[in-house]
Amino acid sequence: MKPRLHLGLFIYPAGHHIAGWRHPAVDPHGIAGIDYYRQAAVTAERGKFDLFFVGDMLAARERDGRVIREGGLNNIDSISITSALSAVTECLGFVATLSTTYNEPYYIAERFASLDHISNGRAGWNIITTANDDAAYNFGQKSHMEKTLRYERAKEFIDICTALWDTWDDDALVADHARGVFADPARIHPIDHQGRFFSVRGALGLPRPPQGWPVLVQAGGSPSGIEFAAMVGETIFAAQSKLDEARAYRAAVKERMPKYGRSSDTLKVLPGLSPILGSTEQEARRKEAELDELILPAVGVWMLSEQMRFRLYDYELDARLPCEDIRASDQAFTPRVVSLLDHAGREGLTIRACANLVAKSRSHGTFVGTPDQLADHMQLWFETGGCDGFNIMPAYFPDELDVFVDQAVPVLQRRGLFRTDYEGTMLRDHLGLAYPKRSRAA
Amino acid sequence: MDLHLTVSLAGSGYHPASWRVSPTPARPDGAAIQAMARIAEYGKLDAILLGVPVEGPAIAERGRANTMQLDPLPLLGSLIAVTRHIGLGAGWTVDYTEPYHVARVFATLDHLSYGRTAWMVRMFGTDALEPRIGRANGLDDAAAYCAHAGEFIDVVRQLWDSWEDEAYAVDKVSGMFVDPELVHPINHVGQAFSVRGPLNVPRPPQGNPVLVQADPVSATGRQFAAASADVVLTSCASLPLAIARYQELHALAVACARRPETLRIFANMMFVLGETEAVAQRRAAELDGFLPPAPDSVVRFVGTPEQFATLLVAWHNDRACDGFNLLPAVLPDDLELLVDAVIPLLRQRGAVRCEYTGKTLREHLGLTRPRSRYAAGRS
Repeated sequence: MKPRLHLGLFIYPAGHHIAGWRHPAVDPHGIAGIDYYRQAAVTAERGKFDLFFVGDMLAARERDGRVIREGGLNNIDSISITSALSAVTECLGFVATLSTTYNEPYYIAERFASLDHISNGRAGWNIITTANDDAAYNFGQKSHMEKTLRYERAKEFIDICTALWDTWDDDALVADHARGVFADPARIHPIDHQGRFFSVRGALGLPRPPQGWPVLVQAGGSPSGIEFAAMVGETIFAAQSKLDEARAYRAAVKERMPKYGRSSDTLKVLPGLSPILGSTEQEARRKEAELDELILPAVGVWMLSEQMRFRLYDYELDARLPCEDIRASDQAFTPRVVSLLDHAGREGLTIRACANLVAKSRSHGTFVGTPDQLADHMQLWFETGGCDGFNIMPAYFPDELDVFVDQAVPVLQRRGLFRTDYEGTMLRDHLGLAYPKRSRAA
Repeated sequence: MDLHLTVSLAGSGYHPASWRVSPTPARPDGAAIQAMARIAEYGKLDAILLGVPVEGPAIAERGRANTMQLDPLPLLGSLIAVTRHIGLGAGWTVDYTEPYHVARVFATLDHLSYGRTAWMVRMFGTDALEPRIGRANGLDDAAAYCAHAGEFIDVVRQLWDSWEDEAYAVDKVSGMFVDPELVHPINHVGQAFSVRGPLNVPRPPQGNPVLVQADPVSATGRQFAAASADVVLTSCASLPLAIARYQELHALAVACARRPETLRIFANMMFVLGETEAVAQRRAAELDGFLPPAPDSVVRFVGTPEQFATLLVAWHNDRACDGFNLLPAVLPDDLELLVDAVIPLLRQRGAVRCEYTGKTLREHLGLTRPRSRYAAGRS
């Protein structure tokens, strides 16, 4: 069978476009209640998506100690949303995000094992180390842990979680009525982990999750993030907006996998993609312009400043982006910032233009056009090594998701690029990922 | 006065041998719990409290009891979309946990459920969890431990208050999503925690989700519960003991300048029902024959629906409690009997509701919605 692409639905509560909540079709009062998310999940399942993805933030979005007035809702807790939606869907997978920097592995192993049991094998864990410095102040720290250390801690954290998921043999739960044995203690193997960051003794209080382990998802784009992705990631939420960058990123992760004893076939890279669709290209462009007009400059400049880690508040909005000043601030720029600086320098973009770009796309890929044009775009990326699928980021809900599912998904299906129905019930089945064998023999 | 009823759900039931007779699958099963939640909602109970542990036999015998528990937080989440009215509570420990996580998760759950959640504050102490976490928290005596828990709860409540109600403006025309004037850093610096805040979730629909505190065993713990909880769960072996505990908790509330009518006291009670007393006794004997309950386990009722309804009303009338947290011995059997046979009798006696009249759990429990301390401070 010809390979097929994978689709995730990425949820920002008010939509991916920063001003999406201001769109006339949106009811922004409803965006924290279950009905809003249920509608999105049911639509995604109707569209045969692989998964529903929710991010995480551990601090309010602020500028100089004040929350951002125009900023939209933060990501609310992802385990809560995904566990709620698992009860009203049957096949759709769910990826929830939790930080390894501000949690304890025992609790998190139990939480994801529970989500996998409750959803009958549809859970994935987006492993993050938390990039937001402000989070430290909400967790009793004077400063955010340095990046190399964060990744070392994350690696140990994952090792403990996978070992805990493996503490019950697959047949440890015997429920043997004749002998009166519920679980066979001889088939439950406690761990005794002593490491640099953690020491954990004991066994999980639950049988092995249906998928063995929840799918391990990662989003690292920096050099240490790429290394970590190669080490543990089974699915990558990527952020490249240009095809050549996407190819290079995917190749870089795959190239590093063998040195960690992993086959590069076991990786699915899904870059973010925010489509705006119209029945004609002109209609799509008009929709884009209407949305962009709703962006208030203050929020765009804030997002740009945060991303560049450079204060642009005192510059003229219509001045060119001060690329040289920003470069001179001498930081370790993320690949997306480097890419944006190159682009802005080349095109001579103003601060306003750059702010709009960041605000509407959050630096992920965007596409404006007809469903057929979008399918062409996705097919090109998929067939030339740019990705294994996409994380679709609707500009606002529910309309832009409905349009994608009703108009773009059928085109992808007709071209044989996407499933017409689910062929398995677990997230690993959808993604074509193997079920991990127990790592420790009894 | 209303008799409040909550129920705890755990896999096959609260008798440690329940798995021998329960029709629910042995493996952890979300769908089975969701079906039970619908039954409890059909009975118009106040709430479901998740994470109340099944008391197992000695650890050497752990293979013989079903003591498995799904993490109550995703389990609570999984009930939000399959129920519409009933309150949903989950236990989360204050041990080795960060108040920012607790505040954020319960604010999220409260929004998703339109104001139906409760946080059951679980206090294990250090012994049970230390091996799993790998470090001691150095809180050896009850007073230090309660001070730690008290600070934890205080920080959580500050974070819930850090957004005033009107801060969540969502004004499309002006483009103001949040009113920054009404969102406050908490800048908490205490003995155990320093938390800057604010929370990154708007104020929960209930203002503060309901705070439940389980089973204070020590005098210090009781004092703490009387000062901080909305609902206290007691575990008393007899009616006179329960009456004494009720009076003690009210006196403790008064001693910390709290009006006792703002406190709800629910008695934990396991129950085994049968159409006749003989059937109920036979069911209990069969379960105990498989595995006797631990000697210090929760008070247990065995009998007919009629007898059970009479007992519940009597305890309530005698001011032994404001309600009960009921622990079905076998699930779903005893829950079905409760809803189909006991609840109608309680309704006939005017003790429990026939329909939900409120939307939030606070409304079900007759508790007021607290104002944000920041709003209160300004006016």
